[in-house]
Amino acid sequence: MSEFYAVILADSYDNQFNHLTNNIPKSLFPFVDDLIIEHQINWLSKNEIDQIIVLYRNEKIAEYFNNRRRPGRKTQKIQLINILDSKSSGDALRELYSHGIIQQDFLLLFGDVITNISLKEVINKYHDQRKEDKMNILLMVVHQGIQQYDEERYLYVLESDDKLFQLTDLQQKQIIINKKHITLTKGMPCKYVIRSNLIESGIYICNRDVLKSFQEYFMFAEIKEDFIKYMTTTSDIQEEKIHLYISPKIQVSQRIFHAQSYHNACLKYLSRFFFPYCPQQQYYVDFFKYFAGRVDQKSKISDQCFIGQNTDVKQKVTITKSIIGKNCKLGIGCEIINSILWDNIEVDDNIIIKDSIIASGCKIKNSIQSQIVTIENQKNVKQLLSFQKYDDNAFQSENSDQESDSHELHQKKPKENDDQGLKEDMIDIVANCKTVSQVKEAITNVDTIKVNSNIAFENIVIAFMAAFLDTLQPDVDSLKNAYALWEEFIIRFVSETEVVCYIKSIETFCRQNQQYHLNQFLQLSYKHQILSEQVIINYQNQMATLEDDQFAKDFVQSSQQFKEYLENIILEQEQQENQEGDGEYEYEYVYE
Amino acid sequence: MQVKYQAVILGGGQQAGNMLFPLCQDYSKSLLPICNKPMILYQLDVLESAGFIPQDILILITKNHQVVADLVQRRAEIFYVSDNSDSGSALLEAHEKIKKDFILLSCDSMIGANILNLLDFHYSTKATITCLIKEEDLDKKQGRAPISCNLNESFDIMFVGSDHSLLHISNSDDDDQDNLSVSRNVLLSCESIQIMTNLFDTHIYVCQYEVLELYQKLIKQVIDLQNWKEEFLPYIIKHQKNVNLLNLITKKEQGLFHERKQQQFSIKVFITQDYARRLNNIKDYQQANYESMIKGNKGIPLYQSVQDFQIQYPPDARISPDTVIGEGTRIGNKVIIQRSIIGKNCTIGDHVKISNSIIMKNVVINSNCLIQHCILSNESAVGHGTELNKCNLGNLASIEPNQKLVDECIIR
Repeated sequence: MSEFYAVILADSYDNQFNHLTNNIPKSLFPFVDDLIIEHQINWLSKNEIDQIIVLYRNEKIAEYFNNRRRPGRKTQKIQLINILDSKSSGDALRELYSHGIIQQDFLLLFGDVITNISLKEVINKYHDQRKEDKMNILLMVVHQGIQQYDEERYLYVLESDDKLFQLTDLQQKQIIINKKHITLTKGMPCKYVIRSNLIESGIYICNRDVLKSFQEYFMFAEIKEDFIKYMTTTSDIQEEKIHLYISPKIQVSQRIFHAQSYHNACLKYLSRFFFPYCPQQQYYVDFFKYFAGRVDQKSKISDQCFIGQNTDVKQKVTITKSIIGKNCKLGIGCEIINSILWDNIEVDDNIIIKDSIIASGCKIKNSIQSQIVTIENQKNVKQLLSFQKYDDNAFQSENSDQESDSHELHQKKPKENDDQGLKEDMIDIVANCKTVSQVKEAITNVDTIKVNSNIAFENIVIAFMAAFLDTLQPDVDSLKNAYALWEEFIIRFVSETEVVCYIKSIETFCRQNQQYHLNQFLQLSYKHQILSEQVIINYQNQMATLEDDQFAKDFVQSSQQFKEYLENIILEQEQQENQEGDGEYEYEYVYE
Repeated sequence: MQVKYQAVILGGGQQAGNMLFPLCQDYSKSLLPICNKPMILYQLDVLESAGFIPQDILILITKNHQVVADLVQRRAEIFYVSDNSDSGSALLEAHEKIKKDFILLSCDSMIGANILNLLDFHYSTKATITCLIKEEDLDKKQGRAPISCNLNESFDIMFVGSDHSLLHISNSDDDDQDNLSVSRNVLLSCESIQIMTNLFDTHIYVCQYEVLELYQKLIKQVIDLQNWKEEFLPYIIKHQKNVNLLNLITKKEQGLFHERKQQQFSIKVFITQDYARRLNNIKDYQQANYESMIKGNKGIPLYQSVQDFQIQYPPDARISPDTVIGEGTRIGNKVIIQRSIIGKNCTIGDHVKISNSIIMKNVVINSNCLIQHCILSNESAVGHGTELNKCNLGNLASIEPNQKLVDECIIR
């Protein structure tokens, strides 16, 4: 094992945790009782791998390792390699290759993996494969389980002996298996298996050839998307093979892609999923509760919770499935639900924290804040940021002198308008919604914002229209689709009093962009019952009276037909009423 | 308690026997004999021993197969379907006659498996359709490999999930696609799926009653589903997770809150290692006959019950022990018969050599003939001194004397 290096890619290249990773890289996130990278180093040393190379991008990791003192642990040789310029993990690997440290095989580990897979069998299998065929260059470790997150959803098509034949993601509705590469002969026993219950663990055992091929092919950016796909689809030319190691059922791993998987991983860790890697036994209370701090008797702590060292939990606090870090102070009567609190946080009395991640050093003050933030929709975490802008004294983030602090609640931006935040939100919401059900979610979200910050309908409509009009394209179909999608939303927020600003915002938009026709907007609004006939006719009359306005004149001309159509409808309606009126009258007459 | 099932046998329509040319030119496929017993009687025997009563057995035939009706009249019900109907549409025509869950057999499926196991499996897994599938074991390296249960070149590619569901079926012959394309939701329904090419579909399906209704509704929308096995079955397997299809099946019972429960639609396979063969082409037909001649330990239990008649033949005739000769056959002098089946009331002249052949009823073979690997249908005649090699004769065919024919099909 002496030659075997472990390479940790201590930085993620995706944007899931942006607001947090701007300050601290993902590897330095606290995970229950320790940092993620410490968990990984611990795991590696238990598997007898002592030589570790950490590829890092953020300076904080270098600082951290320089100041690192861990008494009582085996001394490991940890080398740090700076990959500042890299934009993808492919670049990182190329950098690694250029350093020339790796001679033989190495273990590649992503920086966000928590696992208890025993590496002995993995390495044995890898060596066996290598003996059989020099072309087996990559061994991917997977574990069995139910694929929960989008990033995990893949179909693995395996040949005999766990050779990976095809890896398809599940985005398309139809899965295509290339017939040419499959040898199908009559009567042969089964050779191919399709499995949908495997989850990639982020651990790979690679040969130096892997690095070489990254070096050869400059466009390789990601391991899974590019490299593995390339190897499996052109395998008849390349002959290089990728195998899978399927771990037994008790050995699992969890990658931390986003907030939900982060929370989930913490709960799994508490539930002793990753046995033998668990929080320290001395803190165990019962039902997967670990108390390293002081908890008042009158507080209710549910199962699967962790209270860090020196943390003070006062009376009548309810904590449900949450992780509280070190040195925190929770005031009386707080409720903390499904959240992760890092270190050094002060929470005042009677505060409700739900579904959040609160970074170190925050002070949460003031009266009841209900932050209904659903974890699935990532944008809502950002909503937490903008929350601060609406409510003035709600949060204060403090800079602390301790190491590695970050603020999830962003620094105080100069507060221009409340509107600014609202506009940004709207843009976010509009950009992210693509289906009707998402629109429904958006409606509830905007409702919440409105109620919580006491914003008038008008402002909402203005902000929304700005964002909405931004997403349109000049052809009719795009307009129709957009209106069909947002119909419910618009109807909800545009009532009698807001039609004016609604139409106004469309008008200004059309004035600025000549390709859009105000007429079409009005027709679509009418079709989706956002505007009534009378309103449209009034507006058209108003536009007709505008002099010296070329735009108005054009508009009046193009909308002439529509206007007549609407007037006809109004006439019909009046006639109908009159008719019914007649009927009634007759009825009375007869009756009399 | 076992749910009572109804059995439906596809007795033969217009298309039947088109791979068995010329045996079925004027003759019903279901009456073709294996070891001198008509095919359909085997099926009826199997059904009876599984507990089906004549009222529960329905045979679908077209009008020109009247003879079949005469043969089976007391053992099953007969229903006549229109002349140009295919297997699926025949089933639909008989819709009113089918009142419960049914088991659909083709008249040429010869199986040694126990039907009761199949029915139990269907019931316990609550499947919508269960297919009886034989797993071939061609890969045996000891001694001679067992003969495949399907001597056709084409084979089916099936995706079988870990819970025995059938997720995809396609023939190796449809080569217009380079890719096997399967719906994602179908593949996700099972944890692990095997791609198998050594499975053989015996055309025995146990179906729930709702399948007929589904078929009826489907056929109004998609016209091209006439054939049960080739078209309907692959279609519903391909769309088994398609919401539109599932909506067409609605269960009649309503829940407590009057919701319509969407039925769980699942197609399962029951894989058996027992004997199975479909006799829809000449090679398989011959093979079945050869297998029926094997007696003793290695014999197939399905064929063991055929009675053996003792007949008189002159002492200088050399007849191998595995030959089966029917009642009333007269054998001349110096006849050599090897490994053949000869039907009732045949006349075999002197100095005739027969080997590896299947000869049906009332055949006249004149003297000095040499017959190898042939099939001679009812009432055919072979003239003097003729040599036939790998020829097949249809009903009432006759051959002139002194001919030498190889690899021919002769009809009347």
